[in-house]
Amino acid sequence: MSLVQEDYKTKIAKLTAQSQVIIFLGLIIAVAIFSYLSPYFFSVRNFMNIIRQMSMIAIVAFGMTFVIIAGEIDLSVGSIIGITGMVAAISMKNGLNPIIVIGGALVLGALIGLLNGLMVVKVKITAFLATLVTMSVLRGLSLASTPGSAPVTISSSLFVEITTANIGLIPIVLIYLITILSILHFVLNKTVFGRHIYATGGGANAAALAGVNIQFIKTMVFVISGLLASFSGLVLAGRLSAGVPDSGTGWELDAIAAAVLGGTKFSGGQGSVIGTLGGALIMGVVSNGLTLLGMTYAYQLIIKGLIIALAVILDIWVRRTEV
Amino acid sequence: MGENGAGKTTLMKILAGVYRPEKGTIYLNGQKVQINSRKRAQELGIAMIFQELSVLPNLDIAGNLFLAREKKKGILLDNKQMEDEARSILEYLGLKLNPKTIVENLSVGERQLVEIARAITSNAKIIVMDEPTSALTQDEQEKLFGVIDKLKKQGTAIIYVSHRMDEIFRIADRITILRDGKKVNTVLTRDVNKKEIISMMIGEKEVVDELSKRKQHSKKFGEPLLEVEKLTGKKINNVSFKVRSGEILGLAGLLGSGRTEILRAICGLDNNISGNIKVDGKKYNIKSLQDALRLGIILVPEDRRNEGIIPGMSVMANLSLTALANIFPNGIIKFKTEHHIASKNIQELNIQPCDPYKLVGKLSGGNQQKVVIGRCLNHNPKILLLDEPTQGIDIGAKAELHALFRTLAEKGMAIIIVSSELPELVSIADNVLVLYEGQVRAFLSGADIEEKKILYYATGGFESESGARGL
Repeated sequence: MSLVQEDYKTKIAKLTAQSQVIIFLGLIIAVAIFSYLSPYFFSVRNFMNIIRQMSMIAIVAFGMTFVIIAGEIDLSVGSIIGITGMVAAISMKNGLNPIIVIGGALVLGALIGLLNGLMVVKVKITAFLATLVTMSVLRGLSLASTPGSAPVTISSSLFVEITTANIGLIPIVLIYLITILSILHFVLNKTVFGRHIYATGGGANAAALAGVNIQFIKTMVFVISGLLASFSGLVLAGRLSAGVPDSGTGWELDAIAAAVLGGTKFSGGQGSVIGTLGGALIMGVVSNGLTLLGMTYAYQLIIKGLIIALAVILDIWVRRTEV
Repeated sequence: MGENGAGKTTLMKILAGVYRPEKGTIYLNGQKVQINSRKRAQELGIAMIFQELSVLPNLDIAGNLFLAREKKKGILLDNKQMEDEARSILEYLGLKLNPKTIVENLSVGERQLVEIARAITSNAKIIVMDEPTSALTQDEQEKLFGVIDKLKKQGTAIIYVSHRMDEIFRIADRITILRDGKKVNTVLTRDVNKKEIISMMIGEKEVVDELSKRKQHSKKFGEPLLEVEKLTGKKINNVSFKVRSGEILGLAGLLGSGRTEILRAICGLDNNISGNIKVDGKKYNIKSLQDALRLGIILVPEDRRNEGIIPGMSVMANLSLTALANIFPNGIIKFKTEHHIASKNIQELNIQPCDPYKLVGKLSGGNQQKVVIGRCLNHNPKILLLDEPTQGIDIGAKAELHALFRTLAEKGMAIIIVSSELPELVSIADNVLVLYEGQVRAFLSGADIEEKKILYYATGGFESESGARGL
């Protein structure tokens, strides 16, 4: 048998074994179907619309991907989105400089992540419960931060501009998305820190005995997740031109779904931000396409659930046939 | 009987319906049977006591005994009857345990006995025991042997897997010896002696050249690299020893004698210890694994699957894991360098298959262990701590690893090896420290290292006049 041929075969096997490839194939199929079914779907304008909608979820889902690869889970991201929007809106209403507000909100997100991380690592609360606590408390704080839980308008045009401007046809959030994606992809694949994240999720005991500081790694993934959630919260507040107390509700589940759709192994140790981007895109495309076809939100939820089930089953199947 | 990897456990698991045979037939009471599930095995009256415990720690003893065979009153559990029956079985076994005790609170040995009680509860006609005494104390072992005698008299057939010679001669009527997955012979116990069995187990291959090789080098030790003085902790009591450059020190002792704890203490994994640890003649306070790594001390852990490898990562990523931060001080990984190191390791350690991208979880045990050792060696350690480094590894890989350890020592490394396999210690260690209940019982050196002597001290024997010299 020729060596080259075998090499070629294993490469194909490796390629198809990566859920990322499957998810992007799925994406192409979804785009093709919706383009056929709806005349409004296949246009630059609609695509930019999809990107505006999915970017925020994608950014949160990137953070979630880090957390899940490290073998943990972060339920608080939706509430972090809510609280950063409220803090930003209220402090700008009180005359604070928008730039300082943005910086402050990002620090706040990171600090909440740090709190999550310390609860998990030092107090040894299961991540699910620890972040359930912050999720609940932060949502409560957002709702209590304004009389009658009413939205707080943002009048700073600078803030709105920074978060929602368009450069030509391209929404600025797409540039944020690509920048963040590139940095995170680099961190995961090319740095010692990234490798240690995989090791921590792949086998915490073994990683610790190999000299990986798993406590630091676990804390840091929560910090990154909190930071990215607050970033997303700022963009959402800008789009709404207001701090809305219940914004981001349920996003933690969308973020988890995007990560899992993108091939992140739920038990940790495997995954990629590119895959997660694919997962977020597929969810964005499907919900946009179904809306254009006039399907109600209720049915969209059902279809979303079925897609996740399909992806998970496919994933199990692929892993089983993996050489 | 048979060496590690001879196929004992696999054969037993086929009988118990855990694995399915590829070929061959099983006859039970002269009738051909197919055992294709554990349930089927149970129905046929075959019960197996596994090497790894399979009792549920969260249930009480009675709950475990009647697991999946619960007594019922209508649709409700009949706890009273189960408790009563459990109590009478425990009494029968001579165990002073309350059936309502939660299994979590029992010692490992007691759990093993509960497991045996479970086999009896199921009215098994054939009980398969796979190294049941590996976790038992002397006292508990005697209890178990008593139970086995009782069962024998009742007409229960027992298949007893072990590589402890004394046990076999104590309880077995017939002995079947396996080697490399094949049956070598079946003999009546009264017709053979231990030596004959050993030669059947290991075949006629000679261990002598390994031994002579060691003797040639035995006097060439350098300066002490690691000195441990009055180490005391949870399971360790006043242990002192030193390991010199070029020396392989064996730590012998029964399970729970504190061997692993000593290694963990040296690595900074145990914080509640007192005593001094000197590396290269200087005293250090090793508080964490990171401290130990900085001093060039590294541990190859006992539990390979959970503590050694990261199964979902590639061979390459596993090999570089510990050294990663040192190789790439700016934090950015260069794949070329990493790939180069992995290829070198794969070649030098003869890791099969030679694919750096293969997931470690898909390798055989021996190759996984080579990956763990390769990872440790990439850190350039001065002191290598090996905890059961050849457990569950086939004979070929074992020989390769032994040769490797020898070479490493010759290059100046100080090596401590913990092993439950006495022949391994005899063939590879320059000196052996025998532990009993956390204390040093004996220090054996050179020609004094014999299985008999190690076993004598490890089971609590005292030093005699003609025994070993102390440290």
